[in-house]
Formats: sequence, C-alpha cells, structure tokens
Amino acid sequence: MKIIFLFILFSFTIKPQTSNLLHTPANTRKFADHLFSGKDYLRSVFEYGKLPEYEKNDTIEFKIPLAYQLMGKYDLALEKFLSVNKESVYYDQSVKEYYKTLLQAGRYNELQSKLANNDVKDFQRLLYLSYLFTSNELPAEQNFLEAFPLSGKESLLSFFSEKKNPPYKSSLLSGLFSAIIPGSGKIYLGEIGDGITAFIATSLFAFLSYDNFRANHDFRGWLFSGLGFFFYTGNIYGSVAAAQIYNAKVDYEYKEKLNEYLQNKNYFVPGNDFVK
Amino acid sequence: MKFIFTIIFIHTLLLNAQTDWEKWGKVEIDYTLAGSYQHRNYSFDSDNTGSFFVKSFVNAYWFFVSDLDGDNCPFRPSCSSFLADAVQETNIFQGTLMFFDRFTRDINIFKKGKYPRVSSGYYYDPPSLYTLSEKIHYKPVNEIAISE
Repeated sequence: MKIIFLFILFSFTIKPQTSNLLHTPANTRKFADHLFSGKDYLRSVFEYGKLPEYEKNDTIEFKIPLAYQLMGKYDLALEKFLSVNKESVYYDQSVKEYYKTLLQAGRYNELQSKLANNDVKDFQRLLYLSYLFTSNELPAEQNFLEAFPLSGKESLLSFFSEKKNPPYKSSLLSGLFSAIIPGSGKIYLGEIGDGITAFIATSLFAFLSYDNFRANHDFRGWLFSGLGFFFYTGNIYGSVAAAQIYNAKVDYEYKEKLNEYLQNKNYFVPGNDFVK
Repeated sequence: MKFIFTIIFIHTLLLNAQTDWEKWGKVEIDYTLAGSYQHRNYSFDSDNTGSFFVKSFVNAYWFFVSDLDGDNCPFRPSCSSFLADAVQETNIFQGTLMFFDRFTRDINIFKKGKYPRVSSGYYYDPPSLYTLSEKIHYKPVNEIAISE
C-alpha cells in the first residue's frame, strides 16, 4: 500500500518536461520564419527579437522592419529601416523600402523633399507617385509616364488625368439649382430621393401657406410660409454642403482606388522573395 | 505512516488541483439597452447666445416629447441633438438651416444605404460634415464610423 501511495505522490510531483531544446536559436529562427511566411508578422517580430545578437544576420535585420511595414506600423518600420547596417546585403533594398514606407504612411511632403534631386528610376517613381496624393503641382505628363514600365502606364495615366481634372461637382451650381427648383441641386449631385423629398416638402408648405391665406387664416398662412421658407433655404444650404461632401467622396474613392492599385503593384518597387 | 502518506497525498492533490475558481464564478450580465436619453446633455454650457435659446427648446422637446415618445430617429446624433450641436458649432442661423436640411433628409424614405453607420446600426451623420468648413472627414457608406 505504501508503495502505491508513494507512486501516486511522486507521480503528482513530477514536473512537466522543461527541456529548452525547443527554444534553441536555430529553432526560434525557424519558427519566426514560419510565422513570417504565414503573415503572422507581429509574432514573427517577437520571435526574431528573442534571438541572441550573434544569431542575427542581414536577412533578419531586414525582415523585422519589413514585418512592421506589412503590419502598417509605419513609424517603427521607418526607424528600423534607417538602422539597417550599410554593410548589409539588403541595404539598397531597405532604402527603397524606407521611401516606400514614407509613401504608405502618407508622409508625402517628407518624401518629396528627400527625393527631389534623386535621379534613380525607382526613387523617381516613388516621388512621382507621391504627387498623385498631394495637392502640389503635378509633373509634366510625359516625364511622369516615362518613369514607369509599359504595363502600368495606362492605369497610371487614368489616375494622372483624374488627379488633374477630378470629377468634382460645383457647389455654386448645386445651390443655384436648388434656389430655382427646390431639390434640383440634390438631384444634380445624384441624391434623387433627397431632392424629391425637398421638392415635396417645400411645395407642400408653399401650397398650405397659399391655401390658408386664401381662406383668410392669416396665422396659419404665416406659420406655413415660415416653415416653407426654412425648408427652401435649408435645402439650398444643404445642396451646397452636399456638393462639398460629394467632392470629398470623389477624393476618398480616388485615393482608395490608387492605394489598392499601388499595393497590388508593390508601389513599383522590386519585391522580396520572402514576402510571397 | 499510512496516515502521513494520506495527508501528503491529499495535500499534493490540493496543490495540483485547479485553484482559479473565480473564473467560473457567476457573472451578472445586464442585457438592457441604454436609451439615448441616458446620454443626453441638458446643460447650457456654451458661449454662443443663440445656443442658449435653441438648447432651451431642445431640452423641453427631450423632456416633454422625445423621452416619452421613444428613440425613433434613425440618425446619430438624433435630429434634435443635431440642431443643438449645429447651433453650438456654428451660429443660430446656419445651425437652423443645417437642421432643416437634416430634417428633409430624415423624411426621405429612400435614405437606406446612403450613410455610414454607428456600431448600434443608426446612420452616422454629424453636423461637422455640413458646416462648410474646408476639410471634411468623409466616411464611406455603410462603414461603421464610430462605436456607440
């Protein structure tokens, strides 16, 4: 019986396996690479960070900021890309990725001032692409298109043209239309339901006002004409504001489309084998 | 000896046993939805003189009508809050025009799918979009703009 008790007692006190074989630098590196290729960038950076200094090499030094960039943590990515060793085989690529990250982070002015006098084709492309996002004057169409490969020229030309002549709607026209026919300004902006509602509301109060004045109900006549007036002027104001919102929508959709296109094209920067 | 072993055995069991009982404790969950009136700001804090007049009107409407009538406005902020906010952000004239435009958009029966939403499903339509300021923070349609 004692033996059984002793056996049970010791069986509970045996600790789980605590061998550190799993956590050797080689295994940690393999695991981090596996996480990176599985797009689990946050955990891969954590695992790379566990490696001792002597285990870190050019690839890891480059992959860490790249992981931050792919996660959208642009400030950290920029900081780490800048600290890539000049002797590294990935140094040139990390410089390109640094400028690409600046573009992704929306730091266009910084990118433009840093690349203003750079003649290298890859950098020139990034510089020109940044002009598609800012309100700064666009470069000449010929120069712009020359920097890009043939396969991207057609799409970029359409982005270039849209940037040059955005399909905005005039807030002045919209307000003017609504002043002439209530709701027509909204219809001009594509808000047909709002336009018809405004027309019906204004017409209804105008009719009620007219009808009450005709029946000598002066108080109600003034009340409805006051309300009608506010609906009328409110609609003119709303048409001007809606034109502004319409134009903000045009800008938003343009940027979304452009960002999606550039992401698919990797911002015209040569890709890396380990990000596939 | 048996006795000692038994004591050790029981203590070993207890030491290795699950001790995080609080994890399984009973939790009181409140399923009631917070009504919009619970977030209403009845204060008159504003430097805007027109705002005082409009806020009195809006507070009276909330107290005597809206709280009794229920949460019916499909927008966030609701039309009455929109009026109070619009007047506070601009002035009484501009704020009133913004309100009448909002009210017209509210009575449009085809408004579905034209606005971004708050997390509770209401249409997100803040007065800041209509102040005619230079910069508009556009939110795409049907996107969850803010959590409420």
